[in-house]
Amino acid sequence: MNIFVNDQLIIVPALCNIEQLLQQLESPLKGSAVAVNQQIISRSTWTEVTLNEGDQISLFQAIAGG
Amino acid sequence: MLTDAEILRYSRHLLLEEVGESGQLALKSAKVLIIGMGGLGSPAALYLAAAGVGTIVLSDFDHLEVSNLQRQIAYQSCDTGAPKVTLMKKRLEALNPEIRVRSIKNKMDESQLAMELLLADLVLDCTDNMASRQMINQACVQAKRPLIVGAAIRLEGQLMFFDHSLPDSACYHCLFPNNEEQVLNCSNSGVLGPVVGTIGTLQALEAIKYLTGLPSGIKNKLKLFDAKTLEWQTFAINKDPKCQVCG
Amino acid sequence: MLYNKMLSSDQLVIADKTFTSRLFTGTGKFNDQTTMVAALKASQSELVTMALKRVNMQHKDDDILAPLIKQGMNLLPNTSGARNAKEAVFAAQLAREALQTNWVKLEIHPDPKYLLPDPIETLKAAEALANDGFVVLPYVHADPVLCKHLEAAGCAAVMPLGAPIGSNKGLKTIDFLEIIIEQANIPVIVDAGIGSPSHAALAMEMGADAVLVNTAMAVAGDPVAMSEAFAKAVQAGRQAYLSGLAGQANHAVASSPLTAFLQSE
Repeated sequence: MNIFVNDQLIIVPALCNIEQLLQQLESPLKGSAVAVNQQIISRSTWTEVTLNEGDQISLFQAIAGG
Repeated sequence: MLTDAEILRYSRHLLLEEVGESGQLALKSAKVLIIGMGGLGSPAALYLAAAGVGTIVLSDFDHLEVSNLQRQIAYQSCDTGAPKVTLMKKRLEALNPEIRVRSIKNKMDESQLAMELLLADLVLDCTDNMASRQMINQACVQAKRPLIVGAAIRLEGQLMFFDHSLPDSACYHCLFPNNEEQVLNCSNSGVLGPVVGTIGTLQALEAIKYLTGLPSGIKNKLKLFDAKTLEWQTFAINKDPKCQVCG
Repeated sequence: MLYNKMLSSDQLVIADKTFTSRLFTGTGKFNDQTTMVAALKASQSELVTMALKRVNMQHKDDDILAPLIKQGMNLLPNTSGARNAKEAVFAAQLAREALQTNWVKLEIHPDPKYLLPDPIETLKAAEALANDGFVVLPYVHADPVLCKHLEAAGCAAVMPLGAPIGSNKGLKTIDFLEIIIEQANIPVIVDAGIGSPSHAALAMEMGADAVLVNTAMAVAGDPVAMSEAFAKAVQAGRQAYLSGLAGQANHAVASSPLTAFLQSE
């Protein structure tokens, strides 16, 4: 199904949870934070929260910066 | 996970099948924002503090006036002139030292309200004017936060609950699309103390039910209280598909 | 030898953590990750700050955390990029999820030319975040009154600036840093503007509890050597502070008896 990650169209399997999405995107699990439709998803629920068609995902990562 | 002190303090909750330890822990981890510390907000805040809501944030930019004391029974005569949230914070902490209380003394603009909503699980609208109610409603719709609205004037009260975390929720604007200030308000129409106290108390009741997972019974409904007959009327609030706020 | 003895009992406690090194560091502006890691190691710093940003899907950034965690450094996510209190609170919540820590360096500096922190938005966000259980380290101007408000709001420390971020101008705000240090009941960490080890030493001599240095280490000719120099400077400054600095005078005070050399009076 189609979802958007940081405004980019991404195709994911029908039953995809947040952890699987990060694995597909090759994003490190530690240091990443995810909001779905502007709601921050707690790390502890990443394997339980499944995505829906058209979801707007915001993916954040810890980067170098003082 | 409850401390011995908490088990003692909340024993009447723990004896209730509907609350129990899990309900009490849910209250402990909950964060409630109460906007308005007048006749609605002060009883609501007292009951929520007593119930053990873990974090209560009080917002009101007003100072206590002697004419408030006819119905705002949480306050004392000797405190007129002081900021309401400062007085209520002390009152709540004295009632229940186990919880955390924060006070916001300034008038919140949209951006500060949006920030506070990020940190709240539930909002109580205890304000007294249409402009504030519309702003709070809009912010809760945007932030998807559940909102319990109370209002009271003369011998009539209103109570509503909108769970904006659900997609099909109606909103305050669906019911009152007219942003203009109502002609009637407390300073020109009067109100009986117990009327506004009843509604504020019921806002606290709805909040406790929501936080402990009990069904609401008034979701997307307007409950109208007639103080003369002590009768309630119920009206369904239909989500307006063309609502400018939640449509 | 004496310093090591002093060191072990002179640790800095902030919230739930204890630090031996009073040099905090940042991750920005290094030429490459290898240099950054080597420099931070040379600095002996135990707390390092990093930003949180929306991932660029076309060009992903390196994962900077793994080497820092391996080095045993404490992570301090910051909210740089936030233009107001709401964005800062959102960033703090994201950072808490991303790094599994409730420590946050609160920085709100919307003006890109001077990067000066917004005091009003910072105080609002600090009150909200502290109340929500965050360990808040707010970055602010050297305003003693603001620092007192932040302390009352429940911040774990205050981080007043010496000069604008990256300017390397040193302690331009020195008179006000003195007042803050005098009045604070929570740790004072001088952050921003420290351009050379002597600036860092001066801050420590004045009684600052720690300093945060980023640019001066990262853009130095030899970042690793410069980081070592900063480590030494912070230690020297702290030792001087603890050892009772001599007072200053407006006139000379002779070191030798005021008798002539050859004659006896």
